[in-house]
Amino acid sequence: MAKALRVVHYVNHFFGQKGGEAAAGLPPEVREGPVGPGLALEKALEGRGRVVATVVCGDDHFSENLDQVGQQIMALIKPYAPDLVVAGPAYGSGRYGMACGKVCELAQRELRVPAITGMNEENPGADLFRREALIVSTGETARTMAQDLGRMVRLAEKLVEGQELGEPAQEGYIPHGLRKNRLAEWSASRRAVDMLLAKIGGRSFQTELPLPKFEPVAAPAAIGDVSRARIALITDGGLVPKGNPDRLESRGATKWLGYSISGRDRLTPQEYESVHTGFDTTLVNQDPNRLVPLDAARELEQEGEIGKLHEEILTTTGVWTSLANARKFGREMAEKLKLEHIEGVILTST
Amino acid sequence: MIARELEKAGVPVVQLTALTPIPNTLGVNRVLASAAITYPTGDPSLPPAEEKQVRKQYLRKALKALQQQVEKPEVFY
Repeated sequence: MAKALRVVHYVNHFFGQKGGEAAAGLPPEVREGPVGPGLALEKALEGRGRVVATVVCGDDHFSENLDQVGQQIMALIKPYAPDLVVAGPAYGSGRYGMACGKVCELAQRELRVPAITGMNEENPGADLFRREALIVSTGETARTMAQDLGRMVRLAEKLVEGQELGEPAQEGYIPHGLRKNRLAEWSASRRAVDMLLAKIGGRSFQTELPLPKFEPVAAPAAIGDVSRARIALITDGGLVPKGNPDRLESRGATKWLGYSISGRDRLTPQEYESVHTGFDTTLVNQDPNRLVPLDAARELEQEGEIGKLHEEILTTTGVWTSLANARKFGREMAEKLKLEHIEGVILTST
Repeated sequence: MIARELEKAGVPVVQLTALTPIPNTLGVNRVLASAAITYPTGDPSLPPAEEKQVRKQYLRKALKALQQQVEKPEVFY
């Protein structure tokens, strides 16, 4: 490379040597030269660049006002006319990860300077900024700082030189979530058969579409005796009172609702319907008990097989609903049910 | 995802669905195979009184699943 790269480094209060949690509220400031991990960054640059300045900001201060503080930081960076902005790496720290993501996003968009950061894939900052920012995938702790900065520098140099990056897995960055068209050597059917044969043969293969991973959740302890338990009925099948008075979305739900079933021993088609657009609702609208089995549950309650049926049905629409919303509904429902001492839930899904 | 959050909060839940691989892959611990996508708890081919008995059988299976200790995601039938 002809001339040494001018690099501005962003770090948080902790790595900027301002202190621990007590310093998390500090506003951004700029220091000449490298600070903390900036020394390792400069080493990783192996003379091909130098850290001309370091911006330090408290994580709380930044994450509470991402846009405004982000702009202030851009104003601090700009006079140094950097060729590259490096943020973090932030590892597993959520607030720091969001800050690094924001710095990269703005540096690229507002200053037109290539930027790179690093963090763990589980960091909420990765979720928020993976599209805009180039994020090197790291472990959860700073133990591997030197190697991680080395990987970041190698990728950053490609970025600065305008080289095209390879596949995320091969280059070690977190996928932007973009799809690119390219010509494959073989047709999809042949690739699928090859993959299947590799799988059967116990050989390694790489999926072309990784599925999202979900951490296991421990199963709650079994109910000792349902004939004494309070049980609630929930559905994601879009059940609503006829006419949908609360305007539950027929897809992409943004809310869930609770409807009293006090005094009712079944759901009649005159009073209830489903607004779900993800399945043919004809049969459910003929008899809504096919979706929420209130008639049968009431009989079991009367016959003593269910202790007590919760007097409210909770409902939402589970089609095109974002994972974030579904999680939120679940959390809110759990909170409410716990307050009402519900011991078990029967959830009917379409 | 709703079932997962309920479980995280410690509320036992059994999810009835015809598409059992979905909650099973998501890690929902108690999944019960239901009749069909378009009628989880029913059988439209039966007269109403008999259909209600079928529905009660589904619920009995659901209650049984709630009373069963599970160590990892299981599908009940």
